[in-house]
Amino acid sequence: MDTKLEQEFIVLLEGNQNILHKICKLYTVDLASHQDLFQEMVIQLWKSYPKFKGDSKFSTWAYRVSLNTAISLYRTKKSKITTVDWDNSLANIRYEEYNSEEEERLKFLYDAVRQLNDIDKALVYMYLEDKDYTEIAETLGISEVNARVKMNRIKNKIKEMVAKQSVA
Amino acid sequence: MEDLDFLKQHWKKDDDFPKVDREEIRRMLHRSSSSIVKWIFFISVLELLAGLALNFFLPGSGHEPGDPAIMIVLEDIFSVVFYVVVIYFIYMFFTSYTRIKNTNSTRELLGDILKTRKYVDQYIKFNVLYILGTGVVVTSFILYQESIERSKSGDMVFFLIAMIIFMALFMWLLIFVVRMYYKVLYRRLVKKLNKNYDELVKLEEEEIDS
Repeated sequence: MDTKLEQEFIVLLEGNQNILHKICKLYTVDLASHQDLFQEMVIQLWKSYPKFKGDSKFSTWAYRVSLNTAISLYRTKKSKITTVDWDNSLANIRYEEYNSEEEERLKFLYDAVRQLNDIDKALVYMYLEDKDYTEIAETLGISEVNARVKMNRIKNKIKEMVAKQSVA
Repeated sequence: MEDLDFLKQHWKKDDDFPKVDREEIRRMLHRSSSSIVKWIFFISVLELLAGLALNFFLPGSGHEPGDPAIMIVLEDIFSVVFYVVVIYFIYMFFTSYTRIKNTNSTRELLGDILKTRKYVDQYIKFNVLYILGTGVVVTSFILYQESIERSKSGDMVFFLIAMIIFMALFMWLLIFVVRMYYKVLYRRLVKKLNKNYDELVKLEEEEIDS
């Protein structure tokens, strides 16, 4: 049927799959839910692909639909929220490049981000991807000023979490 | 270095993910979605149908021989109002459902999903009110007829009390069942959506307040 469209989509998605993996990394806590969310993102992307006109880059379009899937469409399966699962599963931090202090800090930061709410995670994702505030605001549907305010609050929240941890 | 900027440095280099190959992606395309929207859609359609089915079996949905004229007229008015409202809700539900697009901004998407669901909620509320309303009309009618037929007033008082207790129990049970149903099924489904939507509109409201 639409084999040409399908082929085209598969090639594009294969090349851009890290976008999906990275979002999954922030929104899920274990391998099973990572795969589950990845699957749902693929379906959602495919569903709206015929309307993708190429006004934006495939990667931009893909991360928006994927974030929407994580925030609005994905049904979180009942799984224990443990951070332990992550250390032994996929997407491990390649610690060999870091000294033990940096390694600890990274692990802690990833955990901290995973404890944020769904919207805050989306902001962090776009921040880590170097998106500007105009794009962040547009993606979420809020004003640019509010996107900035929110981002500052998140930074403070994480700072607090770090401070608390260093006391403990 | 700030925490998030430190994380960013690592994030950029992080590509240590298991590769999903083309064949796997192809298989994924043809699996069925388990998204919240899909669940909401199926549950809503079932609820719309249940509302219709329920009213079919209720008193006041058909004329009995010997019904007085006022009762027949009332029944007809009730039915017409009922179906007009049902058609309105079904229409609003489907049009807002088709507006849901995962390519919109997050806020629009969440808003559209919640709006679609809101129509079904209103529909259920309408159904409950309708059932209670018909219940009250039918009961008062029965009471009126009984009061003509029974001559002893003691008898009538007893009957009146029994009838009121029965109706109160029936209404309480109905509201209880609907509430439980909502708590168990529906709240769980849209809890996440409501939370995320509130998170997005909260800031805007703070601005207006200050």
